[in-house]
Amino acid sequence: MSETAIEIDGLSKGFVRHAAGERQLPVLGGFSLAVAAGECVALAGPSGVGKSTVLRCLYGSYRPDAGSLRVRHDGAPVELVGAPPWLVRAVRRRTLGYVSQFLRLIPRVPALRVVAEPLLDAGVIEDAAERRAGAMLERLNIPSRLWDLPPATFSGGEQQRVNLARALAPAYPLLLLDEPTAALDAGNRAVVVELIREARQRGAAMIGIFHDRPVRDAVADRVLEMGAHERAA
Amino acid sequence: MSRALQEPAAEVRPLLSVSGLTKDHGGGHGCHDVAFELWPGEILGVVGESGAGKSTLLDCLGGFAAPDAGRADYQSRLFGPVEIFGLSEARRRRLARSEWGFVHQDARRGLRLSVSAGGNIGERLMAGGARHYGDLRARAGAWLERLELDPSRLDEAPRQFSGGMRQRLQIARNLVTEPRLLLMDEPTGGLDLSVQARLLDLLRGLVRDLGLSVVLVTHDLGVVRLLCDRMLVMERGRVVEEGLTDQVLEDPQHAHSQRLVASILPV
Ligand SMILES: Nc1ncnc2c1ncn2[C@@H]1O[C@H](COP(=O)(O)OP(=O)(O)OP(=O)(O)O)[C@@H](O)[C@H]1O
Ligand SMILES: [Mg+2]
Repeated sequence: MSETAIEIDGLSKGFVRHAAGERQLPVLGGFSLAVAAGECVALAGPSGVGKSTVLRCLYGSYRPDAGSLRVRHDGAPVELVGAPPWLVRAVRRRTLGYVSQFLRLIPRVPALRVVAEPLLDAGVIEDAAERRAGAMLERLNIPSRLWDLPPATFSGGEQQRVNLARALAPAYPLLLLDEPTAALDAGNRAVVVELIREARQRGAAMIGIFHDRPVRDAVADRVLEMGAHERAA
Repeated sequence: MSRALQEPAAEVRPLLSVSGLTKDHGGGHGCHDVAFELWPGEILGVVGESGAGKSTLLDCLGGFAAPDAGRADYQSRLFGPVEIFGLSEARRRRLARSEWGFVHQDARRGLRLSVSAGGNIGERLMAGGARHYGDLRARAGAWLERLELDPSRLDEAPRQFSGGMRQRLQIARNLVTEPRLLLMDEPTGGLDLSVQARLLDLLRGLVRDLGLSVVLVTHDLGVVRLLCDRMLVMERGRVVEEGLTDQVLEDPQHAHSQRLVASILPV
């Protein structure tokens, strides 16, 4: 087995709603998972069990209550829990890609630019960034006549594909995929399966949530069924 | 955390480091014991309801108000590390018109309304020693264009400009000396939504191209989501929460942040 790229150890996360009389909502209690380079692990389990919460904690959008999240960044493991903000940003820039279920729209920014932005942030020069962005949009069947339009008016499936292009173009070594094929037709689902397999081939470590069983079977090396024992007491 | 040592020094050392900043306006107003760091190339949003002390904080940093206590350490291009509240007036002035910019909510506060647009932009350059008239005009014209203003209006006084145009002129006036630190107080406040969107878009591009570090005060979480890397939430003069923008917006911890997020964003 090749080297560990993502190591989640004893992750706990709950939410406190202050407006609702300090109501506590425990979600994860001591969740652990290790993912090797070139491996794709699928998280499964009932709605609300905390699958997306695992990905959001890893990406840093949610702040864990306890546990450790180590990822391989620039060749060495770094701890993300309690990491300073500049380090989290550096990890996002160079190492960790995340496909959320919905595209975060930025008004007035054309699709090609939306996809090129992470490449520019990672230091790729403008020409090369736009070429790579265009190539990825092409593979995901976004016609070039749409490239210079802001995605706000795109269909749900088109927006999702722009979102995918944005996360896949930089070829991050680590990828988090939250229902990447949810709004796609069969043809585009097949393209996404191909792209995920290519990422695995080049050694990317991935954690994904795939409601679509055939997609999951086609890309996942193993399936982690999350259930009551993952939940906080 | 051994990785920290391998990061380039620029990422590890903050451009601005504020601690214990207090300015009491009486009656619970002002800011109290505020501390934060601003990293190179970072946009930090400061949010809170009106009266939370956001502008007081910014006015202290910009030299428009004298703090009662606290310090602010800044890495100057000209002078090296300096503590800005203890600077001599001469040095503070010099930094204020070269390395720092301040964008007021009301552009009339940050512009000379009776001086031409070109004159407004050229002022900081002249203060820095530029004298060649043709050169000043050319640079002022180029900055007008960069802010999507018609360069043929170089000789008009901003009195005749619309609110959105004035705001862009105020920004050009600040950026002409390529400052490292830009302080902005509600830069899109009072503008139409479409004008706001255009201005935000321009700012996004400029900040990236110029490698600016920005402290941006606003009550608009939409602005923060679009522009800011990190944010502070203030309530009654104190910082109650800070974090990466998506952390605070998606997983707010403090009761006040939860209230702000719930009131503005559809969940
Ligand atoms: N930001 C949040 N604030 C409060 N509660 C949250 C937040 N995010 C998630 N939760 C709660 O945490 C629990 C787990 O949510 P999560 O989105 O991780 O589920 P999931 O397993 O991905 O479900 P699904 O399959 O429906 O997407 C849910 O009860 C949800 O309401
Ligand atoms: Mg989910």
